[in-house]
Amino acid sequence: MKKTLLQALGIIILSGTLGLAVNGFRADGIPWVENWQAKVLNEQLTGGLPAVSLNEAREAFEGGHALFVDARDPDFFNEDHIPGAINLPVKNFDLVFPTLKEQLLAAPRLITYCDGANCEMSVELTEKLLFAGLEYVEIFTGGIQQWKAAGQPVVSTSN
Amino acid sequence: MGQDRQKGHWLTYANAALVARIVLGCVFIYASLDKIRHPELFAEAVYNYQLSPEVAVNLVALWLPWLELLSGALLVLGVWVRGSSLILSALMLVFLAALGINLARGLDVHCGCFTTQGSDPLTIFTLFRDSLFLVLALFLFWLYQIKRVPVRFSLTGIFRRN
Repeated sequence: MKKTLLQALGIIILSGTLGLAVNGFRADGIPWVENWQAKVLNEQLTGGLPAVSLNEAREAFEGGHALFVDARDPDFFNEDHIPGAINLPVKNFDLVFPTLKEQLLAAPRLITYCDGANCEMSVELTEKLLFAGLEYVEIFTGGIQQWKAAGQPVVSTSN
Repeated sequence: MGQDRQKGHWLTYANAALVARIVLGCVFIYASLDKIRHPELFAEAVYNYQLSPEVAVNLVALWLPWLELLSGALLVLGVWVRGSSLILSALMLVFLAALGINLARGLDVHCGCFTTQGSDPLTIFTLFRDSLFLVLALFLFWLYQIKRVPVRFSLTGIFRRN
């Protein structure tokens, strides 16, 4: 029985190591620990669409494995946006989407945002992107307001 | 069965164990794949069961599918069969308990047993199906651990012969 228990222990350790290692290497890996209650509340805000918290947005930004998509009008985008973000104003979605389609499809993960929790543009944009066939789209519900309040970097585009 | 000594008879404990090993191993390999592909969705399924502490939800979601995959694969390959059948028996007991508790609570959760998406509702049938898997896992453990049945077509056996 001792040998059997050792085998079982070996399988448990090996599978745990494999699970965590593979998760560390994949683009859509998940954090080891997550605030699920906040996440579920967040998703209720977005009508069930996948949402990310400030921490998750920050991790994705620092890891460089997500493309941020700003849903606001170009004027607001030019004023300040998350570095590396692209502007896909939800108002002009049909016009702008074809020009950005390749870039959006090439990204392993998309995170949409707009002003903050009270704006619905990121939710609308996410619905449109999912409808257009994009797979990994999430909403950063805190938006640019929460991002700036947390001292995260923003850039502006001069025309 | 019980006629292992009777040469030429196909219905032996070793053959029964071989079939059970491959069936159960394949079931667990199959069950693990979608969960490994969609860790976030599986984590949500784990959270919805409301049985794991919040801090452990993602770790369980990352570890469990690999435990299923590894145990299933080892069973099919005939390697560490006693350890893997012990693990699968324990896993099925835990799954059955989780399913039973949520059925009793009347929570409308998805089973998350074979797929992380779509409809995989939790019903009495799920309990029945998983009970069969538990019986199969316990049967295998009994054969290999208690009856000490030889492991047929094992990877280690093949290497040893060559």
